[in-house]
Amino acid sequence: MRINNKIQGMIEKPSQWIDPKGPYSEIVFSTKVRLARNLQNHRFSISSTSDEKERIFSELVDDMSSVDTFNNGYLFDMKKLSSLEKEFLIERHLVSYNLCFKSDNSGAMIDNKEKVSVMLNEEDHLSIQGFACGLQLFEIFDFLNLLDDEIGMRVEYAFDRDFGYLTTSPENVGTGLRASAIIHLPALVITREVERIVRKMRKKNLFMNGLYEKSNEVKGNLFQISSGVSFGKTEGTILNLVTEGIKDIVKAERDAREVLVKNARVQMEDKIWRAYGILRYAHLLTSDEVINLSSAVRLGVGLGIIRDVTLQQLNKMLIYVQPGHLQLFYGKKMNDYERDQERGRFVKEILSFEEKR
Amino acid sequence: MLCEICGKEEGRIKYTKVINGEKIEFYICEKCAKEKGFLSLIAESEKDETLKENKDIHTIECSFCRKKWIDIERDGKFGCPQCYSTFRPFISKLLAELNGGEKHKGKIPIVDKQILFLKRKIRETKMALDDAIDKEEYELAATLRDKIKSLSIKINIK
Repeated sequence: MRINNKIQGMIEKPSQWIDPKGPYSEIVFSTKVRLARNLQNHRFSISSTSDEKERIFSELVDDMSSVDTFNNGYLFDMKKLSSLEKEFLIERHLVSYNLCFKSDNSGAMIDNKEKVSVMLNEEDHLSIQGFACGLQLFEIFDFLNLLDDEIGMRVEYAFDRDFGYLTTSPENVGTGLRASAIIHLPALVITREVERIVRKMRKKNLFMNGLYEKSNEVKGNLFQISSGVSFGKTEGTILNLVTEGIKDIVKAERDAREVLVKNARVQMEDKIWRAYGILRYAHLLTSDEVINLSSAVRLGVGLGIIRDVTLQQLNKMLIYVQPGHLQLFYGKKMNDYERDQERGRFVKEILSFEEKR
Repeated sequence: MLCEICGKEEGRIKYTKVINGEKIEFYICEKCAKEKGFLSLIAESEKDETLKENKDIHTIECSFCRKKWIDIERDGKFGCPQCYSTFRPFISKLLAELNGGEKHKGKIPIVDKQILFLKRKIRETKMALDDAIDKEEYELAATLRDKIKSLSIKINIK
């Protein structure tokens, strides 16, 4: 299998943000800030022609290549990537599905630490995104804001005094900012309190949904929380709203964990060790299985019950067991059965379990 | 003509309502317009009404991307930066309704107009240069190349 050179370079090392250094990283898997920007003298993507988008793409790449952030970074033209390579980038949360499969003349510029990814020609001309592990929305905004200034000096942003940064969707106009996080809430799910939390957040204009939500089933107890409309507020207000919301949720999750430890310690430990056992000894693993099992193991690590697995290993595992990563890592296309087999083996490698077969 | 809603005040504002694809015109007073017309423009529950004073908003078109307000309402997407000027009063209302905010309060871009101007000039000149080379007008190409060089120097000095 031929793999794009730059993708090949990324496969070996995980994104920097999987390192669980940030605050509350035992519950907050990652945080992200996005700034939506458009060019003044062009139509938005939905109403521009393919030629126009091609020009916009090359203008943006041309102007942004001199920004320091992208030194030794990656530039991807989506036309030139295979669908497996696109899936790989989506699995890393660096780009969106729409950018890869629903947009024309689109691409992305990513720095070499994978802290920043700028999507080009998605819904908006520029989607400037920053990532970190744990609750670090303000920290992300600090470096994203500087990057935004750097880009803004090179291209003319569509901006209006009354409306702020002009975007394709009315929800994004204003600051163009969306703050979001992926959070792991096993205890709130077990105690059935998560519904209450979702409603409480909704009242604060924060939106929560399952990260891998399919037919109303949340996989791996992972949720995404994000800010709503970005107009009429300052960046700081929005970041603060989401930060405080997440702190509330973290507190609720910790309280729920305490209740579980107090009232159902044996059942909980049983669940955790069963999950650990399957990850450690099973030969065939589907990605849904790994996502669900790793939730229990993550809870075990968070409570200090499991000590020979780290959060970093679990974070890496969540990304690398997905189909795109698995196949590119092993450099071959695989069917479902072959994938489950390699995944079974790979999980043991990531978690540094010795192979016992 | 008396207002067709309250029947009390004089109906000075002409409204056009599209009901099941049929256009119905009627006249109402300012008070009722405020109460019903403008706000229902934004309300999701009622799809078909709209209107600005004496002007059928469905006929206004953005001169840059050719989108009409009806398209924007249907898709929930704007077509270009200029839409925001074309439909300014409607957008203000839409945004106020969406989140209660009235005016942008966040960051304002740092803009160096002079540099952006020079950059645009360079880009245009480059296109002209490609064109000249295609047409084998080498004298013109040489002049254009010099122009690009001097424009680039200006940017670097800045």
